[in-house]
Amino acid sequence: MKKVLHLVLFLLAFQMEVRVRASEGAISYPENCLGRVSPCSFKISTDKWSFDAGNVHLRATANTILIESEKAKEWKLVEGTLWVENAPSLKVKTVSAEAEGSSGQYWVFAQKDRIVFRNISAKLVVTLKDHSKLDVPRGFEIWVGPVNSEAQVEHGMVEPVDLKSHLKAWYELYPGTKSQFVSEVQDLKDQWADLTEQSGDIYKKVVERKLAALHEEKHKQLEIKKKKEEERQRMREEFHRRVFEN
Amino acid sequence: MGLLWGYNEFTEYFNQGKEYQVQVHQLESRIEKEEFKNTLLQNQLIDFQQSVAVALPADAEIKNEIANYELKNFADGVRVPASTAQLDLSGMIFEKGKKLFKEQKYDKSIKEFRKVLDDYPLSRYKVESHFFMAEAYFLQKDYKNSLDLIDQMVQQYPDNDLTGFIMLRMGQISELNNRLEEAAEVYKTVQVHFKNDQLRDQAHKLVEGLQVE
Repeated sequence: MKKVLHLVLFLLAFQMEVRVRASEGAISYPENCLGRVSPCSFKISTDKWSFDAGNVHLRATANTILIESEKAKEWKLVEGTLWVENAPSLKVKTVSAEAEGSSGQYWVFAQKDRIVFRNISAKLVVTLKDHSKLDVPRGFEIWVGPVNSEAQVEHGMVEPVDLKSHLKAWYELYPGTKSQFVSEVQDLKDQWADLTEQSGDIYKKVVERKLAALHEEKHKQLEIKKKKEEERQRMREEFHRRVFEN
Repeated sequence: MGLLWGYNEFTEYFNQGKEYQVQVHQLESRIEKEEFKNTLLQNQLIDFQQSVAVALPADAEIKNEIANYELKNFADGVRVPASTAQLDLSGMIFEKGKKLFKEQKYDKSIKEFRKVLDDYPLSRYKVESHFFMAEAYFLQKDYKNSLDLIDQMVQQYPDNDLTGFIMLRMGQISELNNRLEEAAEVYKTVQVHFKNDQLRDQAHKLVEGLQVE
């Protein structure tokens, strides 16, 4: 009887401890706000965190800090890695840019001094703090930095995703089995086979646009020079007429 | 056994050591919460700073007058220099890498070439840096890294003669791994795909060498 009593007491004590630990697992501000109040800021403590609400499916790594600013509409990534598995009407904000994608997958990495937006299968538009918009095609990524002395947000070129480095981040959060992962990787590899060719086209367009802008600028400068020269000529003639012809 | 273990756990739970452990745990979680709040505040501050930085006029538009001195200083404080004004030093770094390569200091030369690729993605020395890196790894017998770079060259610069030359190394790596048919295919691809005579001759000789053996 005594032993049974000891056992019951032990089980009760064990249950109590588990309950305390579980509540301490996630840090949030305000306390326990996720899914209840917005805005809600929280730090993830589990290895594979996921969030599903309606058509919003998010995943994130441990130690990622997120803010749900507006329910089902706006989230902010403060630190860490966020995998947007599907969130067609959701805005993901960061300090220097915000992303908005159609249904499909994309990733946001908040690194030390830059944010990387990596598009896997969505139609992704990144709006920078200076209000300029960048399209990130499927299979491409772009880094975004702070505002520079030209009052524009620093950013890199749109470049193809390096599948090898992406696999590590992906596997870390992948919910399925190893064989499912391998098959999905193969699918993605097939879809991205012509990425280098596509990036060549993108760079070509960028260079052509820059050349056109330079050409236009040169044309404008020539026009200004021509107008100034005409003005000077007119002044000279006027001066000549006033001095010598009167 | 289970009951004994359970009893032991139970008694241990209520001893003093456990109490201290609980206290330490509570303190740790309090620190974690404070750090979390600090990170949030810092992020809010950076966000605001970036909004201000965008709203200020560009440096070129701020006239160099005494009245604008404070404004200029403030703008410099919240913004980073525009990377468009960055000087292209890739040529210098590339030459340094090449010198180290010639001196057979392959590790150091790889670091220099890596700098060219990472810091100057639009450099005209990009292809050559790729080539020398792949070659340096090959000469160090680090075939895995060498093959990774050769793969990149094949994908990114399929028409460049240097890609053809480095593909010969790819063939040689296959030979070293006793994959003679694979090596022959690589050499034949070089012969067919590239127009450089020197390169084609070299590929031809290597194929013949394989057949003789």
